[in-house]
Amino acid sequence: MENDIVLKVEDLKVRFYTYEGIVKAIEKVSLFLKEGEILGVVGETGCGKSVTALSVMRLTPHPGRIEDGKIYLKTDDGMVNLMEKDEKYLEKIRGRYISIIFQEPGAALDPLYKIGEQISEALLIHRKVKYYKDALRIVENKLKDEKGSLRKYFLNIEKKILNELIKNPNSLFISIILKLPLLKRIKKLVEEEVKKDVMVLLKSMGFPDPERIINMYPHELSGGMKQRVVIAMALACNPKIMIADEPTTNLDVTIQAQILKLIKELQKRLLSSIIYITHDFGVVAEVCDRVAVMYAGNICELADVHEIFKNPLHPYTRALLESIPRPGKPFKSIPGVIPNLINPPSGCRFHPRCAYATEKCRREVPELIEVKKNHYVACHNVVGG
Amino acid sequence: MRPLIKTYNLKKYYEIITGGIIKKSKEYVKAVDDVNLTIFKGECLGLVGESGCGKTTLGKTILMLLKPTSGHIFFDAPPEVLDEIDELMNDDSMEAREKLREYLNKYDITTFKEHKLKNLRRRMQIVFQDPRTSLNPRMFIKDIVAEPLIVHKLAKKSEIEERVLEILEMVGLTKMHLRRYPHEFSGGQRQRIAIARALITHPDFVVLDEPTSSVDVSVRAKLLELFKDLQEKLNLTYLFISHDLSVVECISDRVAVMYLGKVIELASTKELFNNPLHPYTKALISAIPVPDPTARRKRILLKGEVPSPVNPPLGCRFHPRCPYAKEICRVKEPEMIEVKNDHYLACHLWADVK
Repeated sequence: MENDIVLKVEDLKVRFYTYEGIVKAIEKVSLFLKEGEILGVVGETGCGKSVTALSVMRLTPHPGRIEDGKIYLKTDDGMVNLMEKDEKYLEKIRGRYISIIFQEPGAALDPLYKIGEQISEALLIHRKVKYYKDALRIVENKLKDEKGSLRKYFLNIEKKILNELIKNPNSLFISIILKLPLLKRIKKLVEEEVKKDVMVLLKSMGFPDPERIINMYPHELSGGMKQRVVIAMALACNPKIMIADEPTTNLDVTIQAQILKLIKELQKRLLSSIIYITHDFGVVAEVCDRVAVMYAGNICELADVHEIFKNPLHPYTRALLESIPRPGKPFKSIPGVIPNLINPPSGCRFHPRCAYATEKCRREVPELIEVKKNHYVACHNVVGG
Repeated sequence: MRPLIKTYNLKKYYEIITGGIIKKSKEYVKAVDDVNLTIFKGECLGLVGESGCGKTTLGKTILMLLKPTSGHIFFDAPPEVLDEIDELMNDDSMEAREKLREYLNKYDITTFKEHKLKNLRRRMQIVFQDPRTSLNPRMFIKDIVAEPLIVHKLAKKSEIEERVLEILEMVGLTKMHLRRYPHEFSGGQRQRIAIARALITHPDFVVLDEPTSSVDVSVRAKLLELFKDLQEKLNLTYLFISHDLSVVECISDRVAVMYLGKVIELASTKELFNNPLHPYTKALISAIPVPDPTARRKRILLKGEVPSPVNPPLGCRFHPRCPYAKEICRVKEPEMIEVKNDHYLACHLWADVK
C-alpha cells in the first residue's frame, strides 16, 4: 500500500508573521495522495486550503514560513523530503513532478507574451537538452544532403555549438555567442521543435486550431480558454501531481462543466494524481475520489467521497453539507463566524460554533483518528459515541 | 396578480467606436435586446444566464440607472392602464397613437425627467454584487445607511439614528456596529449593510445583483434566509440576478433565462427546473454540479463559448451552440410564445426537442 503513495505530508505547520501578530494558518496538517486519485480539499475562505497547496510546493507566500513538518514526494530517486532540499533542487521538481493551476487564469498568464511563448517556456526549462538533441539531429541530416562548402562550414559550426550545449546547457559563453546574427538560426531551430510539442499539447486540451492560439495574447482569449492554456502549461512536462486551486470558481457553469470534463479526462489519460481545492461540494461530488474537509488550519475529516456525503461524522462537515441550498428545504447555516487565526480558540478550533461542544473540546485539541477504515475524523465526540 | 414592473421591447445598446479618423466605424454591443418582462407584486423573479449575457445591464436599465436605448418601462402603473396600453400598441390608428403617447408620458418611466425619477428611486433600490466596492471605505456604517434618508429627505435629523438602528437590527446587526468602517466587517456582514442601505427607504422593488456570489457557502445560506424573511416582512418584490442556478431555484417564484441579451425562457421555478424546454436551459441545468456522488445524470455539454454580443449570430442567437439547430434557426429569430400555462419560450423547435 505504501508503494502507490506519491505525496505524503506530515504535521505541516505554517505561520504568518504579520504586524498584528502571528497567524497560525496551518496547524499539524497530515495527508497523503495515492497514485491516480483526485483528492478534494474543501473548506471556507481562509481555512488554509490554498496555503497548504502552496506549502506542499514549498511556495509559501511571504510573510509565511513553514515551521515544522515533512513533505515526501515520490520522484525517480524514490521518496524525497522536500523540506531538506534547496531552492535549486525544488526548481527542478516544480513543473516536472508537481505543478499547480490557480483560480484566476488571467493572473497566471503574462499579458506581454504570446500563448505559444509562455507554454514553450515551461517545456524549455525542463527539457532543454531534449530539444537541443532534436535540433542536432536536424542539423546532421542537413549536413548529409548539403553540397555547398560554405554552407557545410556553417552547419558544422552549428553542430559543434549544439554538441557543446548538450554537454553544458547553461554555458554563459555559448549564450553570448548565440546572440551573433549568423548563429541565431540555432535558436530558431530549437524554438520550432518546441512549437511542435506545444501544438500537440494544445490540441489535447481541446483547442480545435492550435496554430491560431499560439500566436494570440492572453487578453484575446476568454476565461475558459485561458484556464485551458494554464492547464496545458501545468501539464507540459507530464507531472505526477497536479494541484488545482479552485480552477473553475470564476467560470460559468457550462464552461465549468467543460473544464471539469477535461480535467477528468486528462487525469485518466496521464494517470496523474490531483489535489483539487474547492469550496463547492457539487464539484467535489463530481470529480473527487477522496475528500479532506479543512477548518481553520486543521483537517477535521478525511474520507472517501461517498462516505463523506452519506455518513459525515464531524459536526462541521455536517453543517457545511446542510448549508448547501436545496429546493424545498429551509436554509440552514452555521452560527458564528470563522475564528481569527491570530488568536484561535483553544482546544478544538470549531468548538465555539459547535452545537455538541463539551468541556473537553475547549481544553484539548482532537487528533485525526481513523474511526473506520479510511475514514479519519478529528473530533472528541465521535470517538466517545 | 398585479404587475409591478412591465417592460416593452427594452433595448440597451453600448456604442463602440473603432478606428481613427479615416476608418471610423460604429458598432453596437447589444447588451439587452428586445426584452419584454413582467414582474408581479410580491414575487421574486430569478434572472439567470452566463456572464456577459446582459443580466446586470437589464437589472440596471429597469431601475433607470442606465438610460435604455429604446423601449418602455412601466413601474406600478394601474393594471387597467397596462391592458389598455397592450391594445393600443397593436393599434395603428391616429387616435390610438395619440392616446398611447399620453399614457407613455404619464406612466412610462423612460420618459421621466430626473426630478420625477428621484421620487421613484426611493421605491426601487439595488444591492450590488461586491460589498467591498459598493460601500464607501471612508464612511461610518451609520452614515452609509443614513445617506438615502438624507438624499430623499425622508427623516428629520433627530430621527435618523433611530431609523438606521431599526433597519440594522432587521438585517441582523446591532448598535455597536454603528460607528465602524466597512473594512471591519466580514463579507457577509458587509452585504447585510448594503441590504440595510437599500431597504431604509422602504422600497417596493429591489434588484439583487448576484448578492451571494462573493460569500462562502455557510454565509450564503444565512443571506438567502434573510432575503426571504425581509420579503415577507416588508412585502418586497425582488429581481434576483444570479449565475448560480441552485440559489435561484431556492429563492425565486419564477425564473427567466437570458442568453446574449435576450430572455429565452420564462416559467415558474418548479416548471423550469423540472421541465426545461429550451436547449440552452436544458444544458445550463444539466451543468450544475450536484452535491451527491451517487447521482449519475446525462450531461449536455455545450460546444464552444458564448459568442460576442457585438455581432450576435443571425436568427436564433443560440444556434451555433445548439445541438438541435435546424435551417430555420439560422434564418429566423424565434419569438417569445406561451407554450404552456405561464411557460414562455423563444425556440423554433420546442415540439421536436421534447
